[in-house]
Amino acid sequence: MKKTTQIRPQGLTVIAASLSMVFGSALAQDNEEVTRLIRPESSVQFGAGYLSDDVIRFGQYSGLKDSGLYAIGNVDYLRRDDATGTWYRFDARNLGLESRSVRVEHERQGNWRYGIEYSKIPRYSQYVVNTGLRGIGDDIQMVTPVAIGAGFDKRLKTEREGVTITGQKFLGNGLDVQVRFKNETKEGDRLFGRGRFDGRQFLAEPIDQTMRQVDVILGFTGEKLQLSGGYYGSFFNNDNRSLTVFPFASGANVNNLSPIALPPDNEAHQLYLTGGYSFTPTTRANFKVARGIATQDDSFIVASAPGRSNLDGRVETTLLQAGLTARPMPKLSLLANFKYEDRDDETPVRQYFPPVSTTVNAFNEPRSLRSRTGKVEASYLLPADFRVIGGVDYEERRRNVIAVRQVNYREETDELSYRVELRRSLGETLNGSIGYVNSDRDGSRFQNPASFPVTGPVAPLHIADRERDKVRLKLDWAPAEQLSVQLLADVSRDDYSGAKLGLDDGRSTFVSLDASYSISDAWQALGWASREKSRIDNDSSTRIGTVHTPWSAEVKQRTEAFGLGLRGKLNERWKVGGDIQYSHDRSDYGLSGVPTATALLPDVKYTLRTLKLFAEYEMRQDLSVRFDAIHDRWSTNDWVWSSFAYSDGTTLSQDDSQKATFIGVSMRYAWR
Amino acid sequence: MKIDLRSVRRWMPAALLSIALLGGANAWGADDGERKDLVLTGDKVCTRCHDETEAYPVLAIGKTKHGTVADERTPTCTSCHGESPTHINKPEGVSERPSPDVNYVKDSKTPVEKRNQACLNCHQGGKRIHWQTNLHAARDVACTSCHQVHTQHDKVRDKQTQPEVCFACHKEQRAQVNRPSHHPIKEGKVACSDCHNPHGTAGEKMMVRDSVVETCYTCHMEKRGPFVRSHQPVTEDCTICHNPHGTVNDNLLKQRAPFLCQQCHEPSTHQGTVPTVEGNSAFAVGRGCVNCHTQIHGSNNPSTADGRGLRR
Repeated sequence: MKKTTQIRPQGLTVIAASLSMVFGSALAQDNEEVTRLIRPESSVQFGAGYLSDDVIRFGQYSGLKDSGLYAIGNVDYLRRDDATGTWYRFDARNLGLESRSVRVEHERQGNWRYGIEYSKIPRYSQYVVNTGLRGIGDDIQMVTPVAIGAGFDKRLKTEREGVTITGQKFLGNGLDVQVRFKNETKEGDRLFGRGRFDGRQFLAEPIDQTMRQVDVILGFTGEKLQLSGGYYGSFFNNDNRSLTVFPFASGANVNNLSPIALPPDNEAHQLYLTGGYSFTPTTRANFKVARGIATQDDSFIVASAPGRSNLDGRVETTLLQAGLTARPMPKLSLLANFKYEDRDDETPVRQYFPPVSTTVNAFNEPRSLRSRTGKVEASYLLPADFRVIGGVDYEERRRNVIAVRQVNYREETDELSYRVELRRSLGETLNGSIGYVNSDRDGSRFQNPASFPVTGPVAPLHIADRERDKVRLKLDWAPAEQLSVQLLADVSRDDYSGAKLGLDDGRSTFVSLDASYSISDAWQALGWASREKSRIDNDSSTRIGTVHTPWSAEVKQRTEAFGLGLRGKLNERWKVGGDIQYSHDRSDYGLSGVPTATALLPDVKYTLRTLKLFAEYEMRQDLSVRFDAIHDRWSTNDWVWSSFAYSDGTTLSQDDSQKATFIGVSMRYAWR
Repeated sequence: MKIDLRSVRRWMPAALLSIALLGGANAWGADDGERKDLVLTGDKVCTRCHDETEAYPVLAIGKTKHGTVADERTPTCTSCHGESPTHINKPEGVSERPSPDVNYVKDSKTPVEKRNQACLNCHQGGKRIHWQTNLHAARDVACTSCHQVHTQHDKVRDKQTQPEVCFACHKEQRAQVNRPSHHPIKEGKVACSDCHNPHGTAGEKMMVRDSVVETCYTCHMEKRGPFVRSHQPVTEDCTICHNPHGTVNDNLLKQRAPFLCQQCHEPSTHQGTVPTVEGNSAFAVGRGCVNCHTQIHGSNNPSTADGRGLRR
């Protein structure tokens, strides 16, 4: 009988271990470690979280707004076939929330790629409406007066859902073609209304809109020449063309205010070519030429008196841009840029209803705008490491003027700006710069409104004569490898002139201090604080009886904010961190020369405090558990809705003090 | 010859263990000549020193598009950092190893143009055609001021983390996005690059569609019109009335009504009314002037006088 001698398992183990040790262990371990470092990583994160309270501001754009349990889900799958350079990507974020997004991509790098992406953005109104309005969500609504507070509660919401399809193909010889198509829907309801003077009624605009965009781009990338040309189209479709409101005649202030037109369907198309050419390594020119047409010929919701069926709206836009940069000497850099844009509203001017008064004629009002902007800038390196930058900017805007004007108007404005900036490296650890800009805007003579006010005209803010000065100081200080500090300070002044009423002057300051510090290899801290103050003075006049009394408003806005952050590792397994954010906004409305005692507006304050903490424990390699905690406090004393009621009894309100805590626990697994 | 397997079982593990120790020692002592490239072609010269334990970890470039060697366009280390002979072989008599020819660290002595040119050698086309004439280039912003190359997750290319990169310089906007009326930027649903192309465009403020209005229309096409009755500033520049980064007034308005409206409209009738919170005034509370002029961006209603008043 043949005898077979068996080697025992433990012996095999020793042999395998030994062989592995000789030839493989070190290499295998090295290889595994290297693989971890160089292979694309994928991960999944799933868990659950709990929100302690109802807080609309906290979850306005995510849906994380009602107390209760929420799922946490994020996927980031990324795989590459090294042999072919083919990528497979699947992203999914916020799967447990309304603001979820998903993306799928497939790519042969350097050859082709395509993908599809879905994203949803909810937006909850911060206000609760108490109303008797019937038909919210529909394009026919019935105003139903109620006693204040006796209606039903409704929070309005809109929701965007977008799907984007992309593709690209490299054609060789530097050529590639890209396509992108995005289809986005927006649905829901938003604040609306109708009325005159004290007869204001609440309505909810029904929104059922589709927006589509198409890009087709042919590109060329050469060593010196790059070109990109293509077509861009955008298409707007509104399923709600009008809002019909009943009752039609419920008082003089709302008579005839039905139906109300909602945004019409429209579309725009653009063909363009843009490119750049590098004459030398230090001299380059670029350009863009584009021609666009936007049309709007949606059917009118009611027939116009002369029998027109649509506006036949058409705006043709021409864009020309050219830029040049050069470094003729090592110490000197030059830049020049010019842009011409002509938005020519070619919509035919027609009569749409019988003339009513001197201020309301019967014709539509096309709005054309032609602008020329130019810039030249030189930067020169001076001795002692000073660098001086000087520049001149010019902008000319020319508008068409319509026959009957509601406000003081100007056909042309010109603005010339001079800039100078001095920079210096103040040592190995300190860099600083100071810049000054002076701008002066004026233009053609003002053309008075059809009904000239006895008080004198206003010079509208965007066409008024204005002189602007701005100083900016910046310091970067890095006294040690671990510490860096940044200081930024802006001061600016606007002086308006040319009219008795309207903006008089404005001032603003902004100061920010940032610091980051690496406490050790394992711990990093950062902090920042900023303060912004702005003030505008506006002059107006009010009529009581037949007497006009001038008054003015000094509107101040102040924002103070800071943030602190800390990240670190407690040991090999624990990572922890946290952030504190504080933001406080205050608006003051200083009225002077006010003829009525009641014309006092209390200051408005908004305060936001957020504390975020996280801790991540690595249970084993690639598997970790994460704990998140967010405490959010938001408060305001805003009176904008609290003292107001529509004539139909509708009121809006918000919770002036909102606070909540979110606690989340999730598992994360990663692989390569 | 007869082999006594029992004795083999006794000595073989010990022998293998000995070989292992000797072989292992040899393996650890292998010279650099046997080292292989880890990610990029020719990177063994660099990765003999640079790995994840260095102050500037490099190997994670293998997780990125730059590390996809099947794509023949993929760079080598020297494509971006230069040949750097004195960095690779420290000259005698030099106490500190010279930096690479092109260095991207915070206190780099390499001129920014030279650093950026290394990127532009491959990435000048497409959305970066206008790089040289845009303000970022003119103010010496390096590509690596915003982008992280040696990492799988480049923060600035992720919608959720991009704003914190931009806010490192744009500090006013950092505070503004926390204001009560804001685009969902801090919520991670709108990124700075949805409106701006930081690599430069043909238009002002690096707007992706070359003008403010055209850029706003990408999401707000309903404002485009043209309308029978239009509101002139709407067609010129949305930022005359709105601050898209955040305000304390509803709908991103720079000022609340009536102050904003009174900056243009003469007090010929009710426009000069003094705002008050008393008496249910229409002008300061609720939606202010827009309580009635709900069609403030324009109306396509051709009927009667109220089209002009932007009420219907």
